[in-house]
Amino acid sequence: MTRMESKEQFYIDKVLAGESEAFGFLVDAYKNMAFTLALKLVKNREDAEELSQDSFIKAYQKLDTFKGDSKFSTWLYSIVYRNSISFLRKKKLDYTDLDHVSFKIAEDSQVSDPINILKYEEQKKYVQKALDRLPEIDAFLITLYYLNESSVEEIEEITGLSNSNVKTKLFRARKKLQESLKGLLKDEMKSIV
Amino acid sequence: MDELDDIIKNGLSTEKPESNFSDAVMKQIRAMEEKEELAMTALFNRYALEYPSDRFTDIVMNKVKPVVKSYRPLISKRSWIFISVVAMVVLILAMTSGENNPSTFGLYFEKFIQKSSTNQVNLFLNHIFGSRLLALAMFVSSLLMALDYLLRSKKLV
Repeated sequence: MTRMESKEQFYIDKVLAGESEAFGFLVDAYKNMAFTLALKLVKNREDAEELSQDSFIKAYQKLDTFKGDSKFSTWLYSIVYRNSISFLRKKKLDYTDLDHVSFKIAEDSQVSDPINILKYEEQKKYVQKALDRLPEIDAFLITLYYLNESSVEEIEEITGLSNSNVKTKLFRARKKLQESLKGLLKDEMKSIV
Repeated sequence: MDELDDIIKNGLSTEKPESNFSDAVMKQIRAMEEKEELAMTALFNRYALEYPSDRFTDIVMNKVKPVVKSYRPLISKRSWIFISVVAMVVLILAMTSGENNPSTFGLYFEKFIQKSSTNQVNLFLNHIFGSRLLALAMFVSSLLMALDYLLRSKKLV
């Protein structure tokens, strides 16, 4: 058990003992990632905020069912995922179809522009745009993979998708991102050297 | 012409590179992929994280049901039952006797007190248990307190 995991277990135990205020630690620790993941799926800040808040409340209400077999974050993100998917379904968005649509990466000339002149905010927008071009689930998976550094097994647990499905989607998403972020990646690779 | 082609073909032979050629190529590909992965991770860390509103934690914590500390009454349910029974007995006994006609209970009590206490206490208690009005007041106040307890324990107030 890592230091963070034992710390969060300490707060989980406190919440289970009746100290609801201790839950604030868990909210602060995971709110950004939970919000980011919800946003990748629903693509709307207001909905993402509401969904991620609701996910925390559900996690609080079901905290006694959390066995600690996996990380708290893994368990929480699976709630975020299910919540967001059911929200999209309610919005009558045919998710299965969306997921299989081959999104054309816009071959705009901006990709090969000298990106190093873009400021931070512009670069952020650029990355967000590239992520937005991915199918929602692929964007969710790739965010877990790179930002949360989740393993394929953890992603499997969060989403309930099969191992091979996760791998395929990750591979596909990675290729698309490499293509649309060519310029930025080149600069980043230069800085790594 | 065909003969010339054959001569040229036969004259050409493939050159063999170093034995570790494939390994070297694969090594370079892996290194490039690793670098790309590092670059992608760096980009994600820098640009992909989104931040919710400043009030996020407050909103969640306000919605989280606060832990209600269970109400523990000073006097237990059993004690209240006992008090009610005593009050009822006192009332019944008091109702069956008059101010000038002490009840059987009053007489027994008087005897008991005479044995165990001073004259002043004896007189005081005798007045208490001989009074109908006082007994009625005790009964009603006990009833009200018992009602208060029940309503509180059922969280109706």
